[in-house]
Amino acid sequence: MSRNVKVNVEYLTRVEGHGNIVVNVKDGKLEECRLDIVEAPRFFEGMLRGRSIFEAQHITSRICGICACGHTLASIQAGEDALGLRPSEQTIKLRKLLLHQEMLDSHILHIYLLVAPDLLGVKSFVPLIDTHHKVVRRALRMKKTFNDVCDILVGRHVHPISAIVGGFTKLPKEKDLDAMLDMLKGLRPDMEATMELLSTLKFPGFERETEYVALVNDADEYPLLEGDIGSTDGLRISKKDYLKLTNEFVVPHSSAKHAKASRESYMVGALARLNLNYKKLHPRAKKAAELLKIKPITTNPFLNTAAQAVECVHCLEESISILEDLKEKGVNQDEAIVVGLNEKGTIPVKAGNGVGAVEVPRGILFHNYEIDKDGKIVNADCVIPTGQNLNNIEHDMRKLVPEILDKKDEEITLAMEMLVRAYDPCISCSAHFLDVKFVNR
Amino acid sequence: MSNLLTAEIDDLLKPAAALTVIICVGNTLRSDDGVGPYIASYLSNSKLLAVIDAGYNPENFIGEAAGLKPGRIVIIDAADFGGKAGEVKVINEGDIPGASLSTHAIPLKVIYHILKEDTASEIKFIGIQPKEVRHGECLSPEVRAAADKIITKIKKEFTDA
Repeated sequence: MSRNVKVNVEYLTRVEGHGNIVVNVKDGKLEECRLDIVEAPRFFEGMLRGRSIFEAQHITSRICGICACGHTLASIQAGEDALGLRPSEQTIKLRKLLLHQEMLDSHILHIYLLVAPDLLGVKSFVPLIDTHHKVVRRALRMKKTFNDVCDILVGRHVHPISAIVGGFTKLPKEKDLDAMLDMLKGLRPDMEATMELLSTLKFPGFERETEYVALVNDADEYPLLEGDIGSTDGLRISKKDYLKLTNEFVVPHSSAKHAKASRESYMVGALARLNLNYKKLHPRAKKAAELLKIKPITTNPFLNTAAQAVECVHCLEESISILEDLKEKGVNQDEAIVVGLNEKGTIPVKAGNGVGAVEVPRGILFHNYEIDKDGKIVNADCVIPTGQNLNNIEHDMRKLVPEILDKKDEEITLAMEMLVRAYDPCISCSAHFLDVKFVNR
Repeated sequence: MSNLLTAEIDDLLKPAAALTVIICVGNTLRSDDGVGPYIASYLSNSKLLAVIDAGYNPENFIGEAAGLKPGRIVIIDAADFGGKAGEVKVINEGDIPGASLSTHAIPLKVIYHILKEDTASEIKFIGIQPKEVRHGECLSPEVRAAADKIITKIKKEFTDA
């Protein structure tokens, strides 16, 4: 088809941060297809230098208002790895519970606020008040619940206060466990309704096989907080070797670095996790996956949203299990850590290098700190999931455009926007990104 | 002066027959956007007044506000309506923005609609024109002066009620 198409989306809406989509097709030939990331660098790694390892998590949580808990947990894990400190089983359970709330909150917002308007044929979440009244209320109810649980656990729903290196400064009492359990169990009908709604929506059809990367382990648990780095291309390396995965490189049109591993690009996030760890999902989550017709290996990136929905069921059920377990065994309040920067030297400090690798809503997040003998950070590196996905998104775009050249310009633009949104990119964190420019088709 | 309260706002900030709930909205880390929480921090609940500091996630306070069964709800937030810094204005329903400052924030329009459905209350939105909404923890002198007038007015009216 000898057609000219020029797409220039500046900036893309319903993604976090600023990015532009540029597509240029001339005489039916794709000449330009890229995702410009136009956000300024954040310099968080620079800010960490000279700061105590015991305050790093309070600084890095500010990288993102959505993944604040994920950054906190990756930061703490890197710190503990550098210090050679292994947290208690109780601490690990509470951290998993915290991570589940962030996963739930972020996924639900992405599904309802950012993706549903496209699938329901409206421009934003606002018109849904009139047309999908119950859906709007359900979304708000679910979001509030996860915020409230997070609030009980770590002091507030964003930028946690009580989660620190070594454990928690405040631990939940029995009444807190009861309150969280009531709230989360009460949400099961809303979760079922969410799956039913999604099962009626039609995601765009598009296939591009790529390398899927996520945490993997040899245990029965769906790995989110801990594990090795694994991929569908057979990669299995320690989190310490994360640089062998990311192989970051610079491209002229993006202030965020791109990444690649075994082939030209790779994908992280809910779909990658599901492709690698499907068997370890909670049985109810597997039922949701069946309802949404998603199973490994799924190669349609638009179904990342469906994979997020499946993970919502998993995280809700796992949260309830953790809380029931804590309730049965009781929370040992003696494990509470004293607030501060380890002034009393309760935690032994030594020089070292540590890596944190945590699955956050958009994929695997790495924090790496080198600390001196006093626990001060000498060097820091944070590799954010969206940054790892950018290269893969562009490869998807390059495959998708020629397949939809028979469509109208506005349909092509919408398809490109939906594709990028499917990754739930957090451009501000990756450095920042999104806007579509058609330059001639 | 631009921050004089109009007669309409004056009336809104007087006690009504039933409870008035004032929902203060804003982010204290974004300069003048923090005017809502600033106002809330100086007010206390009384027989005819309940104050909610809803910060940057007002959607989480809809249930609390509706549960009080108020006769009137007044939402106070920074609003860029092209006025002079510190100007205070009642924002009409049709002018409440449908977009959010942040991608993952719930638009105020959605919150307004749900409050309207869940209560039989009169709902009004008072906007204060910000001078600056960049990162920062201080209010500009103009916006602080406007906020102080609102605080003084509410304290006077509701303390005596």
